[in-house]
Amino acid sequence: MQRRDFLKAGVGGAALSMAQAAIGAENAPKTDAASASDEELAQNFVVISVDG
Amino acid sequence: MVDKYKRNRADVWLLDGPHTIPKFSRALEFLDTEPSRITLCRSHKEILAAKRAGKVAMVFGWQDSIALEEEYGNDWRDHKPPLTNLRAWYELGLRVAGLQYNMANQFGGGCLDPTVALTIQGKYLVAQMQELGILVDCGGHIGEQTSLDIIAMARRPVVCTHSNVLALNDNPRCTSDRVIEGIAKTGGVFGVTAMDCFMTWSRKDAPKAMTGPFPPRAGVARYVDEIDYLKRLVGVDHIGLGPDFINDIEPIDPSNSIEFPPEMTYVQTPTLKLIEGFENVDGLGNVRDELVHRSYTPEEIAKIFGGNWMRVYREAWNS
Repeated sequence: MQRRDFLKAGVGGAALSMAQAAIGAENAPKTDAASASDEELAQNFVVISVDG
Repeated sequence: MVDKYKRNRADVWLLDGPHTIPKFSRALEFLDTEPSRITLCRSHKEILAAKRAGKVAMVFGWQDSIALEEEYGNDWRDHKPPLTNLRAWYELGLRVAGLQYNMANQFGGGCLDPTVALTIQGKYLVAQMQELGILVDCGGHIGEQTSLDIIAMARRPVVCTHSNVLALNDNPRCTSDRVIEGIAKTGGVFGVTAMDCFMTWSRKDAPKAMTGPFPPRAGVARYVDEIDYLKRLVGVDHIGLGPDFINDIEPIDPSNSIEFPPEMTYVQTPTLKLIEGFENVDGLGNVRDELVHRSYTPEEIAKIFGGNWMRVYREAWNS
């Protein structure tokens, strides 16, 4: 990949990440996954039961 | 696909899983393409670890147990006790299983055969699944009597992975109150689908399945009506999301289908419709907003969105 393309992809990727973070914020867990106990963590899951 | 899960903070993807080794291998190869973002999980602990690692947890499930029928190399007659291949499937990762898909098989009745009982082979399988630690599915695709028989013999929670409430719409794919109540008594969960026709199309509509007029698509408010009903019937601890998102495009033509008859659905192209606003994982926020609008507490929403499923996974699996 040429440097110009790399930069373009990088900037685009960052913008996409920011947009995605905003969309996902409302589903964000209330518990920090790294420090939570198993029990606390298990209360903050989103489970999709059956996806083809 | 994984992007949608990551973008919406969806943690667990229960896959409508493969019934053959070649298809199982394709699913594993798909996981191999994104090892840093999605992983196969075979236990409650592995799901927790996946979340801590920032990965989507995939769980393999079956919507019927055709792979355990006689013609697929399971010895139900000559060997005593019967030899099924369930142990191997468990080792491959199978953790959720229904016995039938709409129609009856050698294990019991599908939802189109609601009076057919769980057979002796079906009873053997349910016992074997619960012993191994495979979560047993009932209601929905599975017939009412077979579901009640499963519930009656359950020693661990059983669930309905994806269906809707029969009392709200008389569609044969929906589940009766007595099955829902039975699931709740085992400690299980009822997953609510986002499949439009199960909420908008009923038996009385069958004569117009090919000609219309067809009902307008339901929206998220109708979906949450199901949750409201379930909350009144069995309480919030027994409700989950069971949207049944579709990724394969397959037209539905009830004029020549036994599996999808006119009592269940009308002609749909390119495939079965999901409700407006919850067609895929991107609609999670819409469901959350409607629950908030109806004064569900954050704790209740957390249970419905996944906390209840995680509780059942822990209790129904062996690790």
